[in-house]
Amino acid sequence: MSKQLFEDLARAVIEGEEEDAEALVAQALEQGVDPLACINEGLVKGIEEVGELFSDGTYFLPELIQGAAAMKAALEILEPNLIGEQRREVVGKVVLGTVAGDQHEIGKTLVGTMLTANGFEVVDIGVDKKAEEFVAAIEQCDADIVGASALLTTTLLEHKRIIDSIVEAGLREKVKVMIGGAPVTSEFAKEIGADGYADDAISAVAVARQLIGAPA
Amino acid sequence: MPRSLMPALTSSEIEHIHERSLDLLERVGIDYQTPRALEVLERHGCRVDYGRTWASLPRKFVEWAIEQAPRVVRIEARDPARSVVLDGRCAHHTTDSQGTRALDFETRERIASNEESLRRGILFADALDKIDIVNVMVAATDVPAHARVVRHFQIAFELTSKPVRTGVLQPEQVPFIVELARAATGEDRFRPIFSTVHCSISPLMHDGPATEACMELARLRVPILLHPMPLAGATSPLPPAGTILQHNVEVLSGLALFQAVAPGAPLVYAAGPAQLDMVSGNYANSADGNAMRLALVDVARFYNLPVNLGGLGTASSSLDAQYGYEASSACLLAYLAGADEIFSMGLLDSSQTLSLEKLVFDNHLARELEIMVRPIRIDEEHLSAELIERVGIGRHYLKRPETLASLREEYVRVWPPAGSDVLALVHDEALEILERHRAPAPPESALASMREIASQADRELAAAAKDAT
Repeated sequence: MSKQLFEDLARAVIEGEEEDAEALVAQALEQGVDPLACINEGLVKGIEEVGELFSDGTYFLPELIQGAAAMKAALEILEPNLIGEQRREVVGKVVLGTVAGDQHEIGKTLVGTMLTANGFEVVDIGVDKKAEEFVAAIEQCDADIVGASALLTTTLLEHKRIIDSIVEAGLREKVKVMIGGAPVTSEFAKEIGADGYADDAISAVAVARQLIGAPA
Repeated sequence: MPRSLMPALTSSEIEHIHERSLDLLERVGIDYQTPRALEVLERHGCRVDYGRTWASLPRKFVEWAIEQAPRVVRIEARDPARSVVLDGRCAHHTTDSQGTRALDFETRERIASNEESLRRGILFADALDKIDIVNVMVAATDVPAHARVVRHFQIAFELTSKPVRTGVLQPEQVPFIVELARAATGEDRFRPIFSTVHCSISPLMHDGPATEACMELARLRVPILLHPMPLAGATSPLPPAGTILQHNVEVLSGLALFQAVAPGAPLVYAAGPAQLDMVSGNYANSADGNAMRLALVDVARFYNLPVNLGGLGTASSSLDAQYGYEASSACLLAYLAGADEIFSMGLLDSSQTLSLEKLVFDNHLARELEIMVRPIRIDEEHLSAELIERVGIGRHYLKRPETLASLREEYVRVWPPAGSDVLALVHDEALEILERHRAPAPPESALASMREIASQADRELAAAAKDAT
């Protein structure tokens, strides 16, 4: 019976059916199914399939985003119900946001989706976020990586402010910093002391893996 | 008038877009991100909510605003002879805008664009004859962010006497830019020798400080290019029609505000939507993108506004076949659609990287494509029927005095010349511009004033930036 449920969960993620995924995990909890098994046997299998469909060109980005959203919705119900020491296995934890003064959302959202689809736990703090809001989020969720996005040439320097604030908070040794956005260059990333930079959302995954020493 | 395309949209389709636009502006409204916009709009009868910086624009108000916007817009230059009039009679090219990288001419390496990259880019834009409007093509990323916009204007006013254009991002920058223009022209009265660009943030939002800056500039009669950049499927609906509609709503939201601020303020309608590449997640220009932009030209014409349309841009990272295809097809369409401005020369990598050779190549392409759509004179003199009769059958025209007489006027030289390596050719031309072209700088006294204004801006804007944090 659980096997069918896990398959249905995977299917809900593959088809990007957020409400179905929520209903299925609610049903699973009611029936006393192990929440960690729901994650590993259902959701993770589903998102891996979504990733493969995207890689082979069958799926486009909106399908990837909807799959990741279905998985996230189900996780939000399952994670508070994990039993005892149970923890979801993730590649790493990432805090993502767009810098202060910048309302551009889409690039950061795409990076978040790609990371989610590749096994990272992503905490998206939104747009127009000050350096201290990044720091608070890093502390709160014990992040391995922080990713900041800026689309305007004038908000670029907010990246530097974020790094300075991370240093001031004594977190620099603990968290890797990735930056991105159309005007960002690898030279700029080096200059301000960021650890990683990627040209686009897809290559951001490889950079994130490399930063925390996860296998490619 | 050059040759033209059949309209992309019927008049009833345009009416439909217009009606839905008015409806959305009233029912969904716009987030202007600044109370200063709301204060003006409220005085014009708009419903506003200061808490969420939102306004609903009633139909009658938007219709009134559309009537205020002038059809003919003069884009002034420091040298009045180089001013440009957007009156629908011909297309004017602009350089690309705000890249952050440059292809180093000597080392061929990609570098973060700096002040020297920008100086070279502006110098080339001044030298090349098909460039009419000099957009600040790359950011001087070695200049501190707070001082950068003012510094861009200072460099541009120094190195070209053509019209200058770039975005002004904060209202505090405006007085310095006005003073720079006054110093550069040497005139007591402010003459707007620049125009600016206002990008909305799709969907249905404006940037607060940039909007406040444009409100100031509208009062000063500085032309504003209204430039939404929705990405179909990501920040606007996937179907081209939906992106066209949302794009138009965003243009009208800017138009209505700036006309409310200063009735008659000169505006240009940029037809600039693109797509999200659903595979790479990057900004992309597909064939559909060109189709959307052409349709928006018809919408702009419906409002009787000058229109700016993409042309010589490319996603390619070099001057290769992809560049040739993308730039030629879009630029040809822009000419045929009757754009007033064609955007944009000089940058590779989807408007990221300045290439001096591309500026030169683009300049040639612009000339070639313009000639393609140029009307052919059909009259008795040019039909040359008498000459054909005189030469008769089986002879040639090479020795005829009539051939010699019309050679300078009628003959179009072949470009690139037969047997030439076009990349070597543009490289040599670029080298020649670098070595020989002298910027038409204002007098030394004006340059000294401009330096003083820029350094004052640096100090004051740095202090303001510090206070803000």
